[in-house]
Amino acid sequence: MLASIHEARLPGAPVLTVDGVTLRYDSARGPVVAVDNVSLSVTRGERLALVGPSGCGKSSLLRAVGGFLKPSAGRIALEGGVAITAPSPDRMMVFQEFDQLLPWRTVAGNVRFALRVARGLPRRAADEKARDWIARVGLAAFADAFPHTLSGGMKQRVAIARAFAIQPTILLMDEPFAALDAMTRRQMQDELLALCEATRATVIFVTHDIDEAIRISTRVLAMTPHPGRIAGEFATGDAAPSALEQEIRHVVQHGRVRENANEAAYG
Amino acid sequence: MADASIAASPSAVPWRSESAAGLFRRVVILAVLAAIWEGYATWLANPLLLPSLSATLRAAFEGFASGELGDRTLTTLSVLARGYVLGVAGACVLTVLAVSNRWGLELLNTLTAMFNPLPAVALLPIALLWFGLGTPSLIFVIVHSVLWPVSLSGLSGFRSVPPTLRMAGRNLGLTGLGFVIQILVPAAFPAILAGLKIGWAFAWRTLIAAELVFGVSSRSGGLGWYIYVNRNQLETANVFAGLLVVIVIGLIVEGLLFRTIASRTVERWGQQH
Repeated sequence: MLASIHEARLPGAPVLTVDGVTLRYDSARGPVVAVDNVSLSVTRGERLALVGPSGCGKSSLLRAVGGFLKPSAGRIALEGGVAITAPSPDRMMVFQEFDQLLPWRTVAGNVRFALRVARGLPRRAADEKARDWIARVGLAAFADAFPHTLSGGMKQRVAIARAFAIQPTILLMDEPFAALDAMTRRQMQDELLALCEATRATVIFVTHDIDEAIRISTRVLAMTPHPGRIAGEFATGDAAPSALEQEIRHVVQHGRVRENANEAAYG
Repeated sequence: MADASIAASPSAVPWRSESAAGLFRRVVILAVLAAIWEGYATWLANPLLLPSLSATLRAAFEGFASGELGDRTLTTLSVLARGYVLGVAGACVLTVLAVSNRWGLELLNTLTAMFNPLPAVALLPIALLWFGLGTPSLIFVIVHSVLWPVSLSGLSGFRSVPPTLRMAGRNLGLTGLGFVIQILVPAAFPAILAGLKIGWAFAWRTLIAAELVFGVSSRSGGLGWYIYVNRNQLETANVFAGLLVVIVIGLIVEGLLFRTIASRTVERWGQQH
């Protein structure tokens, strides 16, 4: 046990391991395999993107990591080998839907509530930290506004501030910008990237937008549907974004790496 | 940010002036109705059939001055409060059962399907048989009129809490009672408040009607009894005074109490139905 803790603290050791996970659920037309025997790991400070078309199981996989879904087979473990059994603020999720904020609390109230519940901070400390994070996402002027008075982009900013303020071990983002207009989405991507780099956050980012995956992540896993599987893995650092996007698009569409693929495009 | 200022503005200024304008219109409508009443009653000149507004107000004033009308009103309100609290408490139990367990859900669905369409006054004969003449029978029919609508709207409120909001709450580590109180109840509050309002309206109508039926032999009757007795004695102005009190209390509870609660909660949250 002691040995495994030491191992886990080594740089590059995984903070999260997904090992042979299968997610099955019952639909009206019988059992459906959303995710089939997927394994992956995430190291500290890494931003992993899961990209694929709808139905590829990327969101289900993220929900299983969040502890909202129980794997039908396989194991999801945190560093030190502790299996995930329930949701926890150490794996804060940012959802696509705008109604993830509590409508009866103000912007500051939402972040403050999360800090008090999840981290047990006293009121004043929670308030200070909440306002600090709201300012960091550019919403200082709206700290006392109720969520229904905000635009979609602003609501997602609050959700992101709430997630960062908790300082989770790993941030889970389930297509947080998918419901935003293109211009806002682009701006939010840049802001999120800046926040991640400033805090060295570990992130799993789910999206169906390949361009977004490349912009935000340090590593991309491309998934294919029916059943959800990982079809390819790409490091985003060295390759030219446009070439990489073509490679990923090919994998997502055909389920395999292009035969004459440029070796530099994936790691 | 351009979209920010546009999105944020509707909550602040225009709402107040809109409600002030609404209040003004309402006062004007009431004044016109009062003038029509006064004018028609004066022209008719038959106080046995239709006393004028001024005669009604005088009767109300005298009724309160002698203490009788005030006592009757308090009796009615105290019975109402007891029945309402009991009914809401019962609704809480039924809703909690229905939310936490499939048998509870089926129980609530079956009971409401059976009893919700049943007018409370139709239960009066049974109430009389079981509890005799007096307050317990009244409380029984009030509980009946409050229980089903409040349970139903509470249930629909809990069931319509968005799944994302539930997950966001559980993500913070909330479980059990903490999750219910901090996430589910406030999220369901718009529906709960609507149910409480419907329950109040049902209870108020039921009580006045039940008091009219019971009135004859009840020693310390309420407003309904006051109306009944004065009709028998052909004190029509007093009958109208009693009705006026019923209306005014209805307006105060609906227009003041529930409006205030709504404007401090669901309207601020942008959640009104």
